[in-house]
Amino acid sequence: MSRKLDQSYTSRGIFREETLYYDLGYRFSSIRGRKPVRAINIDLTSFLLMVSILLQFLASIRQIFTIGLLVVYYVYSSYFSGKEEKATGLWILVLIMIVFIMDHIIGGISIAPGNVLSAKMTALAWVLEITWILLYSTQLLIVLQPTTAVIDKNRSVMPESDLAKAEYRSLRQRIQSTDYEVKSVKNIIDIELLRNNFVYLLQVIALIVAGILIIDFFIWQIVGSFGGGKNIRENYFISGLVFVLLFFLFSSTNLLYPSDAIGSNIEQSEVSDDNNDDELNE
Amino acid sequence: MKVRLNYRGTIFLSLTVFFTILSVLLRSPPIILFATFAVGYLIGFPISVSRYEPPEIELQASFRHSLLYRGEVEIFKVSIINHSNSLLPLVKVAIGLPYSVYLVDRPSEFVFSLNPHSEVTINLPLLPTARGSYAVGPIRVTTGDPFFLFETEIAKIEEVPFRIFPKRLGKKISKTKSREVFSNLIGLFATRRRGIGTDFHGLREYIRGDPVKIIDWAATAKNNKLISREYEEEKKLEVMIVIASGTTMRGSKFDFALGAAMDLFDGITQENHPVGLMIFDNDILAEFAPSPSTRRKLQIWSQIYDIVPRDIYPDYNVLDNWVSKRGMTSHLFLVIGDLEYDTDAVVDSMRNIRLRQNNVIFFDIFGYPFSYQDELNDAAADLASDNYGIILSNVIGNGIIQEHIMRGFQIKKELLRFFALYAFLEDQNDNVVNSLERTLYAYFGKNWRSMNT
Repeated sequence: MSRKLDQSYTSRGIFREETLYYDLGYRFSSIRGRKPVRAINIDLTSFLLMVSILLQFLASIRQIFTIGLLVVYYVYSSYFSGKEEKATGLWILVLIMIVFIMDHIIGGISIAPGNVLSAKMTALAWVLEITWILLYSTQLLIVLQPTTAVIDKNRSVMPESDLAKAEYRSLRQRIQSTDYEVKSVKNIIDIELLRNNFVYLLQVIALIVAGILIIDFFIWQIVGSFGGGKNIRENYFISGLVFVLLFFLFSSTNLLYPSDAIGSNIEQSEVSDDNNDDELNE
Repeated sequence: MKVRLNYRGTIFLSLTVFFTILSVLLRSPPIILFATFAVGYLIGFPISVSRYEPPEIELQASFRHSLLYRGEVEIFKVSIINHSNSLLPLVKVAIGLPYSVYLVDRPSEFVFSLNPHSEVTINLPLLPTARGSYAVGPIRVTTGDPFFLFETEIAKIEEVPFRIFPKRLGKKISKTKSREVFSNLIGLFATRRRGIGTDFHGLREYIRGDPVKIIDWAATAKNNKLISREYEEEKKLEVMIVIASGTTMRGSKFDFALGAAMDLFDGITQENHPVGLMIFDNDILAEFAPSPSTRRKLQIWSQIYDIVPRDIYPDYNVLDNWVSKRGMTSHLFLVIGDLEYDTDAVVDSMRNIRLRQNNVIFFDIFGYPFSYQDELNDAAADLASDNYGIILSNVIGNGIIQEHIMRGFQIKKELLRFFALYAFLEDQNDNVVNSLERTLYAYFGKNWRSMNT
């Protein structure tokens, strides 16, 4: 009786929440189950942002990465999150910008875009470079990782009245152990799916990073000299571009479709239909 | 296998362009690396997969029952079967749903990995919310690269059509009770007539043309003239369900009226008596002559499932003219309407139908439960303290109920003058079986069950 009603409309306005409730006993609900991808994005971005800010203050390492993260965080929060998160994001952004400006004014230091090579790469530069590659690629991967479905809030309903609840429960009991069985949604992440995909992703990243480093470390000077670079930076740029392109052309597909590409003449053990663990949400 | 960029891929492409320009401008190693990585991937992946065949995937989709009723959750089953030897690490199933159905506690997009020679079944509980003809679809199964920047459609179903019928009201009533009520109803109104049947009725004089086998030879010998035996048959009671549509019926009230009509239809068809249906406002919207066939029922409901009442007051003269034009006599008329506009017109019309030797039961659907009464009660409870809300809602509710009872009482008396019956449907949770039981009890006393035997 004392519950406030959400006055949201569906995109075509067929059913208001009130009508849905009073007529059929259902109510719109955000889905339970695994966390939506946007929430993961915001969490991850804020975590990376925190690490980056700590680096900024404690180790006094100024990075373009922080600015990128700030922008990403602000874009996410403005698109996806509620009012409170938006406000927080804006405040953090303002705070960091103030810190940057104060840094610039007091110390007379401009913000270095990345770690620009001057003449020779130091050990610290290498470490930073690898960290950045990993952070960027992980961020991109998880941003683009589609293992979670984005759920339209107005498309999913839950039984709310006692009558509707009882009816839905009885339906589920009636169709139990038939082909049409509706299993309950678990509150955990689908480990099987994540494992399957994450292993692939890690393989791809690891190979890419390793390949780039090896190429960088051993051959960049040779290839770079063929490319006609005038200094170390230009050589580096050209060699990286050429080798990563070649590397992808020849290696990526074998990872993606192993059974078609590599194991075409190897007999695979047949998976029985009972071993069907990877059904989503079940 | 042809791949193409999806929306994630498009975002990634724009990011890549941005970072490539940035890398040229800034010459920063991490940005250069990222840009080369991205450009390499965007060019390399489509080229390298172009020589592979797409995996063989079978997609099946069906409803548990082909008939959906408003407000009753139905299961939609989607099966994806992998016939190939490949493990597909990332398969996405996107199901396009019309706006008339809602998912119960499920997302409309599913992502999973598909083992070789295995099957994944997704059961979606759907809540139908509006009458009409719709289609689920397109159902698309896509697979992609690990980043899901590129997508390939590997199976697709264009559409799975379905129809949503009105809400069934008497679903929760036991079949025994329903049969009992309807058989008694039929028994009360069905007439018997003489003819060729099985029940012995009496003896009469032989009329030329009577078959020889019905001649009662014993009686003939006794009376010294030809005597025939006479049998009687139970005539099938023809029932017409009439719905008065119009302004006051708009919204969920018309759905309710259709549901009531559907329940009446089912109940009488189960007793093997022919039923027809007519819907009118100031014109005839739908008209079906009585027929006992069960196939007829589906035909009727598939034609009227999407009728929407117009913003116009019902003209009961239309009903009168229709009855006289068709020359309908000895029918049972079940008229579903409301008394919110012109009660005199209703009474006159019922009288005219009754004058043509028909029987009439008028079903009055109370209007207030279909207005904002419940919402008003909740709002009152929200705004004021709980006690005040309850008191207020009681007062308002009682006022409206009282008014309806008085109007119903008057109309009941009016109808009784010419032996037409009055039945009422209280609210959304009421149904025609209960309503009929109440009515028969009210008119024929507590022995209504044994009246016809």
